[in-house]
Amino acid sequence: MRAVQEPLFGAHFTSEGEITSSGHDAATGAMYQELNDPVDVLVLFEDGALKPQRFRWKGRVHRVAQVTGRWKTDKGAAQVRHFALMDEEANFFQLAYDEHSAAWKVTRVWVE
Amino acid sequence: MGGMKSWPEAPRRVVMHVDMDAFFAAVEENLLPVLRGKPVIVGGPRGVRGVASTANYAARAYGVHSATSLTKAAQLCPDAHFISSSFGAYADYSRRIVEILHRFSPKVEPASVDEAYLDVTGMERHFESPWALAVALKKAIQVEMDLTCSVGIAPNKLLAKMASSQYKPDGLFALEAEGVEEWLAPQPVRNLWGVGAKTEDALERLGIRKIGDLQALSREALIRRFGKWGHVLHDLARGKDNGSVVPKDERPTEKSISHEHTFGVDSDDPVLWHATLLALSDRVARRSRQSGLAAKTVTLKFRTSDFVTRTHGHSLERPTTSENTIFGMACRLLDECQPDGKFVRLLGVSLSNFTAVDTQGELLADPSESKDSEVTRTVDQIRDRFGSDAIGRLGARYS
Repeated sequence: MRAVQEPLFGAHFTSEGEITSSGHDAATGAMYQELNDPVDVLVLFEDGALKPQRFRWKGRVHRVAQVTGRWKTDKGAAQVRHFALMDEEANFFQLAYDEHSAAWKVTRVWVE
Repeated sequence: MGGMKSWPEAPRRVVMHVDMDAFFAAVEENLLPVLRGKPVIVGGPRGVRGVASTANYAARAYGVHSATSLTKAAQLCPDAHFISSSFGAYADYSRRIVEILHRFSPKVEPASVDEAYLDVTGMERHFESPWALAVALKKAIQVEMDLTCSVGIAPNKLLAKMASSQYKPDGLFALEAEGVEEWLAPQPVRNLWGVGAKTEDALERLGIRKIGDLQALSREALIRRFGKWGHVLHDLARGKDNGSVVPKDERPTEKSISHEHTFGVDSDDPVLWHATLLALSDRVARRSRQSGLAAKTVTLKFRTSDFVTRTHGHSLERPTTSENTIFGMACRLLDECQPDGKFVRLLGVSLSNFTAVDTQGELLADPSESKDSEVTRTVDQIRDRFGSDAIGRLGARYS
């Protein structure tokens, strides 16, 4: 993926992420990384559901083409909402929204 | 077998066992559709120590199954995609599947994260037959969750579970009460509930390999050889099981609370052992408080690098929910295992022999625990609000 600075809705923003672990598979070329990386997300609230539309990660805006899975986990009294999604360039990500801190993070990124 | 195309007459029960197909791997394939059709092994990245929790059917074709070590799995299936478990996702998918199952019967007993029993007796008002109900159930899970399951229909839980494994994946198999013994007879004894490697070996020594061989033995002969277990074996071999489908909120109180930890690298470091025992004691104590149960017995599980496992327990003077008391006993039990100089692979702490904690509990508790209780209550409140990682004891760690 290119690392290009691009605004999500106007202002430029750069977030430095930390890779917590990676599952690089040299034999197959498949790779995923587990992250805990702050991210800006543009979300649609529709029919009581949270629908990520696009997000900016490492200065680049990704448009969401498909949400492939969603689930919730508990973090104390608050919930964390998780989304597995594919962007328009067929890159796969997992994002998490922490209701307590109202913050979004990229938790996994897949590169084929 | 009639295939349950109609409802049996009362008082016969109709029980279903729903078994999700390669559940963890199937969820991962949903989350990352490019994995579909490729071998997927869930359990951890390639090269780390640990075992596969699930392999999808493409990986099983290479001989990789649940509990295969990840190292061995990489040898058997070099092209596999190795993925760390997303237990939060699996638990939430499981919860949604149970919600679907509740549309088909009020009596749903989740047996684990990926399987459940339903008692569908008396649902003839809503479905033409048990078979029609199972077809509708499978379709609902397929359409709403994009997952497949295998369903067994039978007169009891034992047979329903055996039936669900007949045609996996995406299978459906029904057994009627007539002809059950004949259906069981050619199957290996290990297919019966509770018949593990030890019982299988003991039966093998007697020349018993098939369930039919077991059926040929009298109840008295089995009791002579296996004690009370022989009584159970006699019934199992005939497909008899009176166990009820018990919904989660009707289950009796749990009998034990345990946590264990496998070290990334076998450890001969007593500081790390004790830090781990502290973390494990903290976790089991918190769960006991959440359940309103005080434990009288603390048990240590201790596995060395040569895979020799010891469990060593001791009863306390008074029931407790205090991590300090549990940790103290766990340390004493560890000392009694004489671990010095050994490389430890796994440690576990288990609580059992419970009594309910009532409002008088603190007055009856060990006076030395009372000074800790205010701190414990505050820590519990912080964790209830912000999550279990929000606050912890200094020194408690796993590795």
